[in-house]
Amino acid sequence: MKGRESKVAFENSAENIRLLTFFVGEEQYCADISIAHDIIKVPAITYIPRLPEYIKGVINLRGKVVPICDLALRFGVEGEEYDGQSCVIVFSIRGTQVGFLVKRVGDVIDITEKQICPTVNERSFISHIVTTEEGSFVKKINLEEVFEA
Amino acid sequence: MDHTKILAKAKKKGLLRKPEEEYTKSEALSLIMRAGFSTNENVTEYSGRGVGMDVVKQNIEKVGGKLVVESDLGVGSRFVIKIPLSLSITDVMQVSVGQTDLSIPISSVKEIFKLKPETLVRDTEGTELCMIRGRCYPVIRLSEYFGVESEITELTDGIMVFCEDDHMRACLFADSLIGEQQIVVKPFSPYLAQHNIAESGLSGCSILADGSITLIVDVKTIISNIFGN
Repeated sequence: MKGRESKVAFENSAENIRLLTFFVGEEQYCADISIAHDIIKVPAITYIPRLPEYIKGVINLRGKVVPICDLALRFGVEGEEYDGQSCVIVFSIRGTQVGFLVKRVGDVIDITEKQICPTVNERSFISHIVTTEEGSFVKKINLEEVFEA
Repeated sequence: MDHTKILAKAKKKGLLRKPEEEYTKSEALSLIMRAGFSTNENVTEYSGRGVGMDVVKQNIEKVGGKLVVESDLGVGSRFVIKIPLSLSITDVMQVSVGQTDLSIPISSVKEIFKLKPETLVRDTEGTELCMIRGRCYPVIRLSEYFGVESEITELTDGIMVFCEDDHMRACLFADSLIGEQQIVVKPFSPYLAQHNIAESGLSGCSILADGSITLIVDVKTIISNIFGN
């Protein structure tokens, strides 16, 4: 954690937000790290029929049955290929755990409130746009909306 | 409740997720369970914030249950709360269909047999019927119903599970029989409940001794989905 991050002293105050970034397709997205529960390698997924295509099925996460949602398909990105770097991020949303299949996990970034800007549409899958230290844009996912049917 | 008024109000609040005309009556009625929905113009001490029904629904779904609203304008409304027997131990008959592992509650199973070709009849619509002791029962191919690929397409190659649930009878056709099991029923996650998984004919799941997951079939829902009530 030394080097690049060391110049930004991280204080766990209201202005500082810690985010987990990950890739879906070629795009970089992020979500609040405090609700991330697990990051695991893609396990054996039990397929459940008669559900939307983006729900891949369920997994056995240490004795808990957790549903898996393919974020690429959820966002309408077609032909996503998963490899050894792909993984499942389990988030707690409204008290339940849901696993999201992503191409790969990026980084943990600390940002300040100035770097985050809300999007216009409340119903969108993207709630905020984050500008990183390097000046690139990362989309913050509205997990509540992704959770909705 | 007037479902057209509910729909109009939901549209105003921006709660609709598809074109207004595509909403069926029951879908419109279930809009009252969405967060932020209220037909009250004035917020009072107790009501009008659009929270109540949403909380009720969320709590029922948390235990894997279902809340269904039925209403006829001027007649009355009925709220049906379906709560599963969560974490209960059930005897099931485990069958395989393609790559999928399904469990049929023993309480629904009457008989398991291999089909003899001479007992198979087809009606004019092409529905396959199976003759059991002088009576005909419809055959439901589980692979077709669930849209699962299976190599076994000949009815004589697989296994017939003759089921009865709530006075409805049918023969469920699966690839092979795995065996009898005692399982602990786990309700599906609220995330899946939102996608109407209960209406698709699956009532829960269970983790087996080897860590794999089996899906529990709801025979009654499957039969009524195909043949109506």
